[in-house]
Amino acid sequence: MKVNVQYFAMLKESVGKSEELVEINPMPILDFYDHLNAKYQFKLNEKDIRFAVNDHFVDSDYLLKENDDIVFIPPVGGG
Amino acid sequence: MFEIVYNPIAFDESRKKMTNPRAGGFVIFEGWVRNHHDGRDVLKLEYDAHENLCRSEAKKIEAECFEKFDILELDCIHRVGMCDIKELAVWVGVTAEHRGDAFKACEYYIDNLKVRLPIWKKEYYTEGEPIWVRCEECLKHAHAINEHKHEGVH
Repeated sequence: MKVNVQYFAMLKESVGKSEELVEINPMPILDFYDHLNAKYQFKLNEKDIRFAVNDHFVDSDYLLKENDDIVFIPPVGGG
Repeated sequence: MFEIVYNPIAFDESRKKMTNPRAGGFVIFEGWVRNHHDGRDVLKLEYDAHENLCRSEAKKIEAECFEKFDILELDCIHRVGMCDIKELAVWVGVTAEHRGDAFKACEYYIDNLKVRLPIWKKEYYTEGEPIWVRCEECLKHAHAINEHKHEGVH
């Protein structure tokens, strides 16, 4: 199945693009993060990351579905 | 009301939005771009944001403010993109019948915005490579949420 991943801030710089379509098997979002982390070397502790799918925050055990729009939220710093 | 803008914040216009005739107090917080951080000279800042998530999370914080405090209006504008020193990064305005709740709601809103909204800040220095700021308070907040979930409490 295909999912879309959007990258922001330091993750966008690590990957070199702001989004990409990825072909994967169904898996929890945390496993998918680990998969991408192995590929792109994000240099971030996974406990510092939060997850969002289709514009809603989700838990790390959320099971990804076809066409999900995924965002990994690195440590924030607004204001 | 929460808005993200890519150009300098027109705070005079925001101020005019606050029109409730019952208001006796109007508290404004302006977050400015300062020229130093942790002993380093800062040249400029860059903000990145996930706009849809920002809007939904800001709506929740705003609702919490109206639930906790006796306020009349609340408005916030956050800048993204490149910001120069002394420019406004964020503007928060709160009106209330009395000043006490306006002060409290404004502080609650900006404190929560900083740790909950998916906005990221990159600092550019006079010397050395720019870095994405890792706010320790924000990290504590993320860890607390993750631990909360792992405990199975919702």
